[in-house]
Amino acid sequence: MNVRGLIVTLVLGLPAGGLLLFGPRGQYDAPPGRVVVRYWEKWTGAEGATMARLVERFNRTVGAERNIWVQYIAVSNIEQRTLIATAGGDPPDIAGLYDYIVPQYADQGALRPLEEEARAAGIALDALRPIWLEIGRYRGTLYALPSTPYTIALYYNRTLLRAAGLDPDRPPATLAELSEYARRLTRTETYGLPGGGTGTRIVQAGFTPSTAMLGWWPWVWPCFFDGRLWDGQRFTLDTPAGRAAVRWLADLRRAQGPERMLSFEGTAGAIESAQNPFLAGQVAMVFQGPWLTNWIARYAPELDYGVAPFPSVTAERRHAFASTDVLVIPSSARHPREAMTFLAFVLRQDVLEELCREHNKLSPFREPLPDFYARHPNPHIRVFEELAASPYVFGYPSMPTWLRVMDESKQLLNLVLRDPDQADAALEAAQRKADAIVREYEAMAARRRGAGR
Amino acid sequence: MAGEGGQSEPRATSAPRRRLAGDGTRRARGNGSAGGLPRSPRCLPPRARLRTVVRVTLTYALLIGVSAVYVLPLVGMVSATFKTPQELKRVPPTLLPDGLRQWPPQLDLRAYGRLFQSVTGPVDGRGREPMPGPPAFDYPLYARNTLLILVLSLAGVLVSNAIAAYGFARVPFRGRNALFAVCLATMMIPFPVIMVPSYILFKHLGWIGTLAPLWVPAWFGSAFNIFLLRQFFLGIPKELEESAMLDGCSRWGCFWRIMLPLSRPALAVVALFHCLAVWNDLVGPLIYLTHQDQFTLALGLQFLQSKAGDTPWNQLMAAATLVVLPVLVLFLLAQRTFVRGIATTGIKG
Amino acid sequence: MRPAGGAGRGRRELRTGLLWTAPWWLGFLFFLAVPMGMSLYISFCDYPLLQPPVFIGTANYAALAGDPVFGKVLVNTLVFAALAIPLGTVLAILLAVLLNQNLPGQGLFRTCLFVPTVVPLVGAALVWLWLLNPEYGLINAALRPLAPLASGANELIAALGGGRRLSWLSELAAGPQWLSSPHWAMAALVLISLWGVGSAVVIYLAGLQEIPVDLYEAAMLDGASAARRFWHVTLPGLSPVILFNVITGLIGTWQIFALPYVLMRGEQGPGRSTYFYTMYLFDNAFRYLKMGYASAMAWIQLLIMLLLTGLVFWVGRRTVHYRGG
Repeated sequence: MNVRGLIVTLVLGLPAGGLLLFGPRGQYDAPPGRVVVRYWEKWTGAEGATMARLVERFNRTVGAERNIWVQYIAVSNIEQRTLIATAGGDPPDIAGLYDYIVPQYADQGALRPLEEEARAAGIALDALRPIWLEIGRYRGTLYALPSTPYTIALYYNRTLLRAAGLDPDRPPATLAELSEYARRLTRTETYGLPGGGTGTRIVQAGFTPSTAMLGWWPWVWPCFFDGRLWDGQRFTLDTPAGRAAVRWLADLRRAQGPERMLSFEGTAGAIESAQNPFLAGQVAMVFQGPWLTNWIARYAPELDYGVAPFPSVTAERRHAFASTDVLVIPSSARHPREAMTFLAFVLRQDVLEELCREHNKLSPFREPLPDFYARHPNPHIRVFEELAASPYVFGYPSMPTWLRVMDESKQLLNLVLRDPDQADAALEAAQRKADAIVREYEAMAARRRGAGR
Repeated sequence: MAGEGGQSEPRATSAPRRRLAGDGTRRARGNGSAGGLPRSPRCLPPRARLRTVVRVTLTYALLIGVSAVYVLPLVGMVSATFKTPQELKRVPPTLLPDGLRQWPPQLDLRAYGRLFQSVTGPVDGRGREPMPGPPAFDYPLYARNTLLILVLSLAGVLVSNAIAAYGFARVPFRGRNALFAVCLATMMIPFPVIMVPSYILFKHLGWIGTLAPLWVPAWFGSAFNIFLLRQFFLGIPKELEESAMLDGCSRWGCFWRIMLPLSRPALAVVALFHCLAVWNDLVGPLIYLTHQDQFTLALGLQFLQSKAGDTPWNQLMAAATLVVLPVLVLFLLAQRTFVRGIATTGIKG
Repeated sequence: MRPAGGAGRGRRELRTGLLWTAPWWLGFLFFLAVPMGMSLYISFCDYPLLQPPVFIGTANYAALAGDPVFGKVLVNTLVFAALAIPLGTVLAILLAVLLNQNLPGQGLFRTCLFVPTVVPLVGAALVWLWLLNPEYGLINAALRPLAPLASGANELIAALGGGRRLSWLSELAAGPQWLSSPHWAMAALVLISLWGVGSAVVIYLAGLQEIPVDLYEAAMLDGASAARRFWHVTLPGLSPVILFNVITGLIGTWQIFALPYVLMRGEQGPGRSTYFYTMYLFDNAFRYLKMGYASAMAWIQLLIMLLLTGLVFWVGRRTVHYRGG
């Protein structure tokens, strides 16, 4: 072999060979003889570390007694991966999913019904707040246990409010006030163009529902106008509430200027950093969850902020969005009983509340232990708690076709934000699509029933 | 033996090369096909010389400009790994990191460091021992997985394609051409057509969640490689084997002792293409791998980018740099083979 | 060479031949033919992956005909191919011609042009995601000095055309939103595909070197200018290579997936403007759990590709000039 070939082989071959022979092989460090329960979870970072600690505690105590060893694995695109793995016959034994995916998967038979086994394993289902259990049910059967529930509220930057001449102790109480606040909290600056002349750009936005800047739930807005997205049979997007919502969004956008806002939204920094748009003062008001206080404490501890219920169209009917991460057992899991043993450990009030506390989220129990609030790092947790108890609370639609309609509503919001004049037409189109999706789904379901499956 | 030297290898083209330049020597490149003949500028009249100088300058300017544009993204990527997040968001953006402007120039390696750390530690500031968790981008693990797949599939690729190509090139049998036409046609089948049933097939074999679907099919030949190797084999004179067979050598012996050793350049090209394909493959691992500790580099990179919490750019670029680095090194060292391989397939296509 | 032996010898040769080519046709059967057959059957079924398939006839294909998203992804993919392939071909040929001047340093330039194709797609996508950022990306920074040109041109057009300005020119002057904007996102993708044109350049370079010098000499003797030599000697000489590249380009762009998938972070893009055929297929299969629908899409993809390839071949038969041998 010539010199060149020799060099290539050495430079690349030696490290490659070394890696192959002596490299890491992954976390196969279960003690021999134990049943290995694979637990896939979406949490990474500090949230993941908390759960990993709990898993380690289980393995040391209950797991050692019952000969179980839980392997915690952080996975991205968790719903897709779990589904593919379940279909492929190699699912994890426990998966930490998002609640919105439960109806679709339960409908397809991907999830194991949990109610009886949970009660048999000693989980106190009745001690949980009903809404969190409801979220885990599909057509009456319980498929998912709540792990870390949360509600979404309005965060506002008191310093910026003060600077705009608004009372920092009086956050907007209705959506109309929100629009007004947003208008006054938006600041622009002029900059020189290279060829002469000036342009304006936005440096601070009062409020934006954009997904690029912490607007993680692009479909919720009709619900704050006293509407709901589904009536049990079909999706109800194009309703008076829906129209009011898109018009409100369109007006907001037109006041700010769509192109300028698009440009501005492209400057969003990484969410878990000091460049988070709310932390950095780019956005004065956001619709976010309890974990934001965690990031504030870490990356912007000097921030003077407040938390309040997100305003609805009227001040009397306060709507609140509630959601939770859930734990499920895939239907073809290999070790369901051992998985349930672990779930029983996690759903113990002291264990679960420690997890929720560390995650800065709510407790799913009706009556949290005194320790929960005493040691909770979120100073505004009571606000979130009250929202969960609101009579106007709503969650994700419990429809198996929700994922597809959610994609459509995301497109709807993006369209409205880009081209506010198209708002009404876009809403009609979205409704038509949603109807088509439901029709198609029901046709297939009927065929399946007809075919006797 | 055929090496990287160039002209001594057997040719795949059958047309005679007529490349006599104006001065009678045989030139392998640069016949100035844009319109001129290669002539030394010194023997041209002054006006033509000026035109040549202008032409050369223009060419260089364009080439330098275009090359710079093409290399710029990579330079930007590497330099981004040494910047802080604030620097990365500066308007107008700067190409080089600030650290290089100081004296002595410093390079901020923190982005790389954070990749290898697992993000642990207390949530609320109270003292607690950090819990070891998986790092953000487990480069050694992913690299090992990718290498494992690479080695297992590379062996298969070389063995199976060489054998099949030899069959198509040298072994006469009825219907050989028809079969080869079918083989060529399969190159056009888009992966999505077989994506779902392949998944179901592997599910029944119990291979989902293992590395098997990513390397076992490589042991069954691929149309592209067979095509390439067959072209090459056809270019080797038949007499070599015929005389060996007269001396009593079997088919297999001819293949093993005559054909293969002569085919090193073509096999090297096949190997290099395959390495590239395995290193970059995203769709296969996306569907077939279910354990994080089996992730390949491409998948791990995509995982890092799609994380729920959003990753700072400098870390993403650092991960991308680490993924690109081995392939770049391989390419720079084996450049000529790469380029020649592509050229050979292109011309005969 | 072959002595008369008749059927026995023929059969023996067949067996030997099939034995040698076994690695290929075994794989073809298992990993290609059988899955293709299954895929065809599934395309006539409703198959949500977790439950057994149910035969529903041509319902999937009928649904595709009425699916606006399907129409959109089809158009997007066609537009992308229609932009990327011609532009890429022209660019690659021009670059190859530039490189073929036999100037010193040619190898270095060739390397620079070729390196992007070696970079893994995911890495490239990440880099471009950063470069195309409207505020702090390098692309818009490079465009900013050209802004007065664009706005000046726009003013000119307004003056000539009675007050109407071209929206895309003004967007260009302001710095396009790239991946957040429906039109510019497609432009961004075409740009990135042009960035990967290096392998085509190398092929064309080799093709240029195959063209016999005598043809150029003859043309010069006939008094042809450089441009006419290019048109009548170079291009016909390159035509087989162009055909090959167009077909491989077609196959490649038609199946584009990983690049937009990473750029859009698995989402569907603004106004679905960079939502391509294979991405929608993937979403249908693994997100919406409509395997039958996805298989129908796959078969249509195959048919369209065969059609387009056939078209290109037919055009090629009339325009491609093959030299002897």
